Amino acid sequence: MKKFVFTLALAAVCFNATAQSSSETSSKSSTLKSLSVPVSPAFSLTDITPTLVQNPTTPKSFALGIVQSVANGGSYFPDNFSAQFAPVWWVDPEGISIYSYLGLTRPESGKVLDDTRQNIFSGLKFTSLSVGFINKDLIHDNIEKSQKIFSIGAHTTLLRAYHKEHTKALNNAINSWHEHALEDISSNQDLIDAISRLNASDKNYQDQINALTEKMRIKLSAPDLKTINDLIIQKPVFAWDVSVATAGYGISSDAIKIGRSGVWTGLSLNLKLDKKATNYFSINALGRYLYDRYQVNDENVIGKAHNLDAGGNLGFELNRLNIAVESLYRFTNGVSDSKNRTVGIISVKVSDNIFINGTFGKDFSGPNKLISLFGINWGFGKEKVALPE
Amino acid sequence: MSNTYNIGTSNGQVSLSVDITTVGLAASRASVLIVSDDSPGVPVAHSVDATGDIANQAIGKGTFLKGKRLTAFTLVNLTGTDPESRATEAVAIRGSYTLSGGDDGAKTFNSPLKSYQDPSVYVIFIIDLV
Repeated sequence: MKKFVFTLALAAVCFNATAQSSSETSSKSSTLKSLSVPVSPAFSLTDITPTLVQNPTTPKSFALGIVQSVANGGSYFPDNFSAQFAPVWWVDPEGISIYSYLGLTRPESGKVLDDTRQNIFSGLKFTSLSVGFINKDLIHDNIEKSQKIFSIGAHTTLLRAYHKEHTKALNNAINSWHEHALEDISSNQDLIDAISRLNASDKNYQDQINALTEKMRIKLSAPDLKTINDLIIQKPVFAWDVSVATAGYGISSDAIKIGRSGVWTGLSLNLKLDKKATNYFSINALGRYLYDRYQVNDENVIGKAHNLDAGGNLGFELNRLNIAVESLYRFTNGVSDSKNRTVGIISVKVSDNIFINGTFGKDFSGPNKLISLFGINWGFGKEKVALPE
Repeated sequence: MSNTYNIGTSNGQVSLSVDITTVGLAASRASVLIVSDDSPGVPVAHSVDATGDIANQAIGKGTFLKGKRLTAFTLVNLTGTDPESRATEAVAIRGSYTLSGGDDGAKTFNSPLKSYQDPSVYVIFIIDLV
């Protein structure tokens, strides 16, 4: 127990020291992570993290959500309403299936498995829109008054390509899943019959159905689902993501102006170094253009600003070791900014939840242009902890 | 409230088609049974791929089906590692069921029951054939 407490205390000290160093640096420089292509650009553009995002699958449910929000707000403007949806659910729901979702051509009955091909543009079909209506002060002047802000954005994967072997393995696993799922359904026929014989007019009808489905034994198809999930999380050989967004500010009751606009793009190339897909050589390029009509400059004056950030990294992602080099450059109104950096990053996975990280390199901001950070990240979950920025 | 399809006096083949809309893996099987006894359900149709759809096909003659209850049962497995995304996808699942060949002609039903046991969703359509 003492050993555990000592380890925890030591780790906390190390983590704290790292956090302080990191915050001092990050306050002066952008990070590569901040350039990531957002899935919900309408929210990223306006710096909001809505706690409740509606996912309307029909135009009717979208309109209903807006009407309810307007009613709650007591004015013509929706009261902090946010929604995200893929329009394909509105216009072509019949075309949605696991095959179109994963970019596989749908096999026809009797067709050989090897005929299944990959549609590298399948992500376009699932382009998502994000919409936000918020009341927030996004003009950083001396007047603390919130504006009525409408923000809309779109995110899509323009291109996503996997190895042929990946496509074949995924299709085989899906076919195996279907075959086993039918057997699973068959082995639960007694429970299905019990559901069929329930009285639909019973007030606890849904509860009775839930109680019976909880008893379902889904055994044969479960390993196939795991295989499919393992294949889905493998990195594509090449992917290209794009997001765009714009936000209108209600400056007064009769004046609406475009306050911010943004475009994000990200390209990634991942070369698998082993068959298990745990080791990669990756190259990522990220770009972001942000227009802010009301940006505060270094002289504390509010004005239009065109910010262009470009960055990238390349490195090896090995079983327990990550080694990468990343660079980041920023231009404001066409002039190179001071917020540039080129650093080397090393991360060692000690156990499932503990990582030792090091960042070394050149930061063009501040008087000390060399970065040297060391730290430990740990967590209680199984997800990978982000490197210190 | 229960669904009904009127076979009436038709003695021809009754057909069923099932269209499942989901980004998850889906498998469907349809069966009929007599509600008043304990006999097991008799399978009459099933999906051929992981869309979970059942293409329009004959499921039996009117005289065989009349008085029985038809159940189309679909198992959907949602993929991905994010439970919130799976919950959203579970809500978005739709099912459309069309019966034809009886006195009611072609009739489509769009309101199946759903039971969500993450990562599985059971989509169930039950109809009395009268």
